[in-house]
Amino acid sequence: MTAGALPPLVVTGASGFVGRRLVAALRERAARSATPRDVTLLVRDPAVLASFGTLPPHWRAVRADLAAASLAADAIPRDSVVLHLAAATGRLNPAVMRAVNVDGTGRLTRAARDAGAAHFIFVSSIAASFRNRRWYHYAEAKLAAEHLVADAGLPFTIVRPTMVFGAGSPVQEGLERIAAGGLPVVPGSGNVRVQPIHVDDLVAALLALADAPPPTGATIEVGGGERCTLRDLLAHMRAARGLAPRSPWSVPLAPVRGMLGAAETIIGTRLPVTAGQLASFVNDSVAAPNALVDRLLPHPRPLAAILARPDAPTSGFVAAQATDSADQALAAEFGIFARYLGRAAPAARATTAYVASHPSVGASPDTLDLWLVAVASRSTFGCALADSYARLARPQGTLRRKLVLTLAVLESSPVVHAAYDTARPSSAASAWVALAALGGGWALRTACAVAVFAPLHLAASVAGRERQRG
Amino acid sequence: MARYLVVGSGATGVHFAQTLLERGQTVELVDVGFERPPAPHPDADFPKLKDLLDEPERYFLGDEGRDVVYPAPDAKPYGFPPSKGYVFRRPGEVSIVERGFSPLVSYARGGLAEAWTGGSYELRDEELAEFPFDGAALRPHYATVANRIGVTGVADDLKRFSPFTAPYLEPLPMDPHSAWLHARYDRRRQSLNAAGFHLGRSRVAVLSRDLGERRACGELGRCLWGCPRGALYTPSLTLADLVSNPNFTYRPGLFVRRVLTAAGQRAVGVVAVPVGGGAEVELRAERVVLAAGALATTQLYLQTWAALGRTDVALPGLMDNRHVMIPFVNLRRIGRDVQLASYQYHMLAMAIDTGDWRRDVHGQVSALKAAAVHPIVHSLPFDLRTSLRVFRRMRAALGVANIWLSDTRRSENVARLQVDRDGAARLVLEYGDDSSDLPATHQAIARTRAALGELGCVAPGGMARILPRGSSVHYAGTIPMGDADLEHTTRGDGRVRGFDGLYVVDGAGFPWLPAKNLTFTLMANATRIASELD
Ligand SMILES: Cc1cc2nc3c(=O)[nH]c(=O)nc-3n(C[C@H](O)[C@H](O)[C@H](O)COP(=O)(O)OP(=O)(O)OC[C@H]3O[C@@H](n4cnc5c(N)ncnc54)[C@H](O)[C@@H]3O)c2cc1C
Ligand code: SF4
Repeated sequence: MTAGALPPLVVTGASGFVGRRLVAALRERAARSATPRDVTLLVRDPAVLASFGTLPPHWRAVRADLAAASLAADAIPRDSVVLHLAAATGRLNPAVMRAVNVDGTGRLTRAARDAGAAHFIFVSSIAASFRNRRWYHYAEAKLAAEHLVADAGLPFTIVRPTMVFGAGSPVQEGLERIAAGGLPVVPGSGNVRVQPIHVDDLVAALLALADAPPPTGATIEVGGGERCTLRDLLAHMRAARGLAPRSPWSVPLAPVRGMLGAAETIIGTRLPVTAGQLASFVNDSVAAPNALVDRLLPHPRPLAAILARPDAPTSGFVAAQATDSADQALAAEFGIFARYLGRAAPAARATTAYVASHPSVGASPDTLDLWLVAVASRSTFGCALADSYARLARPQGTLRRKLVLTLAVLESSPVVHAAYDTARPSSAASAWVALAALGGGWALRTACAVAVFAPLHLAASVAGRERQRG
Repeated sequence: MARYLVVGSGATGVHFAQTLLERGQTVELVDVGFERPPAPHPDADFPKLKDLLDEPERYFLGDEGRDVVYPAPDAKPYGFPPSKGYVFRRPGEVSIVERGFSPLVSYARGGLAEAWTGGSYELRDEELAEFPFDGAALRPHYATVANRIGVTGVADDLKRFSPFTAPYLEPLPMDPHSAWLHARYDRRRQSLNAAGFHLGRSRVAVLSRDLGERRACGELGRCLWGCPRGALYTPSLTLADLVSNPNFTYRPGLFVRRVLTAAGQRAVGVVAVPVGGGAEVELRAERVVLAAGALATTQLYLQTWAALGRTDVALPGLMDNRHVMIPFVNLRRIGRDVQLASYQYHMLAMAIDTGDWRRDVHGQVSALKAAAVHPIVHSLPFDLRTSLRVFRRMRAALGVANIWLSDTRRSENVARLQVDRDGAARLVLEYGDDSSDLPATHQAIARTRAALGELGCVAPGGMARILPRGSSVHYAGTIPMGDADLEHTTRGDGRVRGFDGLYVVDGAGFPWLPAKNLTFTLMANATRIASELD
């Protein structure tokens, strides 16, 4: 211990969503506190280092790739508290998930033990508590890592946060899109229970834990100030945005997860969502009550405070901006569609032409059509999948019409038209090879698209029939 | 008062008028006459035009994207661009009831041929068998028209099917794909001819050298959007020449409702209304000539009878060529480049000898050059991105054969009037027998595909499209010419039986419809009639 009374801190995952907030909180403390604290940031990518700017005195950054074998001998000071936040999340294949989340955690715990760390705090996930973890490699990896930590032979605490919200939260963004999107749907039954926590509350709890005396080894679940169903959460999100309430349909997830799971084994994780990511919609994500947590975080924020949007427009303003924002939505989808078709972002004039020409697309009351458009306007990859399915199931539907308009605009626009209306000359041999590759890619994409959308399509037609009956 | 009052400034009307004027007659031409917008940047080629226009998207796709060709059950792989909108614009008064017949009608200055592709073929002598005149009577008028408008052509294998008697201009140089097909045909001529397939240069009303104010084709590739050089012939070019003739009066902006008759069913003029609204006007002349296009002429004729108290006239024998589009891929041209700035339409024509001249098949073969690509891309069976990439790799290999079959007058195919309670009359076009020529159609498709196969091309059977009846835009047969003294027919000189001073000089008077595009014959026939009237 070189400085002050507080034990040195070692932080991994400082550049992640939670990590950044944690580092910011630490900086603030460092600025306010008279007794400096040793802080070591273990970072994988030196480029990330630059983004931290100048570090406060007594802080240092050490390069450490958890997925690789070596960790500098002095990376972890003696008697330090290790806050292990680093994790691989999102759409990754199981091998990468494992290399970082399990093997990396194992490496870190061993190093911590060998260095004589005082407390190893492992930030896991509520997903590790999910009963239905099928296809959820992330949850599996977190659980396996928890076991490693518990068996490592050093003082530890395992923290399982629920859904972490706050500016920049990927989960929150995803849910907000569902809540505010064009389709009134809720994934799964909508009745699973959730208890989102604000990122700053989680950071406060983690830092309080880091300052507390080392416990004997516990697994605690940390959540926000309120629990509700997923359906209610989506409704709160709409209200927070000033949007009218609506009663969304539920989309049965079992078949989708099954198909996604099967598709992943064939084509890996190139799909827009993984079967695992949908696990949050079929499992409760609430924290089990715990006395320690009550001490660490006595007043977690309630839902309304978590969802409050400082920039939320009033409803009058929303009405005034309605067409404007409709145009903006068209402009945004055109950006995606144009990149999908031509791999290049469109010029502003083409965007204007698309918006101006869009009335000719017409409206469609067809649910599948709307879904396909909703998926396609998210990302170029979603667009590829949705278009592949649309070619089969809705060849004359809205999505195809929007894409045809996109092409029509691009082939008419100055300069860029040449990328659309000309031949692409080459030797005959390379043209044939390219055609074969295009055919192969098409077959693969179409297979995936069927795997993803056919169940949704089925669900939509069942829902449609039930609606008619009702 | 002019001696002749001509209704319609289409291919028929302007050549009829020109011949009369050359003979010193006075002519007044009434017409709805929607006008062609000026062609922007007349020297720019197709690609450059997109760079130069202020709003190219609007020029090519129309206001609010109205002319985008979207996927639809019966979408054609092309559409008419906004710049051709004037050709197909209909005055509010026009209302057609379509039964098994999808017609295109034009009220433009110049008519339907403002949007044509210029294919011009003389008929064989035998093909005029049912006409009340023979080939010798028509040949000089083909020559007259060819001299007026400029038709390119070569005396090649197709001479057997379409005589080569008029003075033709040198053809335009072939695009590489057409040249490739032609060369391959030359090598395989024997076996292809044995199978009844014959190929040659298409005969086209396009200039390979300057003619008057019109300039030779400059390979701009803007033919579909409107040739800015006047190289591709359109009747409005002739009309523009006629207006300087002191014996000629052009009266656009008038929608003719019917022929004005006096006692003894003598035609004394027409009854018309201003297109923009206003009271009926009467225009008088010694003779009234209907050249409003076969369908509009039919309507005027029916309305004339209706005004005489006969609303029940039914005209059997409506004709339109069976039209099939057969897209193909020339596998050996995959990966090649395409010159977009080149003459856009067909450069090759074909014929299938069926052993019976009445059933011979005529066709035109176009290599894909400048085009709106989105209609083609969305018709491919892949997702749009893949389709676009496949399309660009295969662009130089794509082409289409348009084939036509002859049509005969049949009693099931009828034009008549439906008079509503408020007195408004609607033209009913009913094509009752659309199936008796299907076997022959399928055979023609099979033979064309086989021949394309021999030429190294693949023509997927699923992509061949039998277009709805009405699509060939070759309309005829409702008031046929003939020697027999029958009601609702005309004499060889166009005079309508039962009337005095009333003439029908357009396709309505054709008693038989050969497979070949008929407009060259329409113009020659109108010229023939005009030169023979006393
Ligand atoms: C896309 C396309 C491609 C074609 N390609 C070819 C080809 O390659 N070869 C070929 O031979 N043919 C082709 N055609 C067909 C050709 O255009 C027609 O055969 C030809 O234009 C018919 O001429 P028309 O003068 O008889 O009648 P129209 O062209 O129909 O002219 C009618 C005229 O009458 C006027 N009119 C009509 N009704 C009234 C009324 N009530 N009052 C006042 N005026 C009226 C109109 O304003 C117009 O001026 C094509 C047609 C199209 C649309
Ligand atoms: S290519 Fe077409 S548009 Fe250009 S000059 Fe020739 S005929 Fe006219």
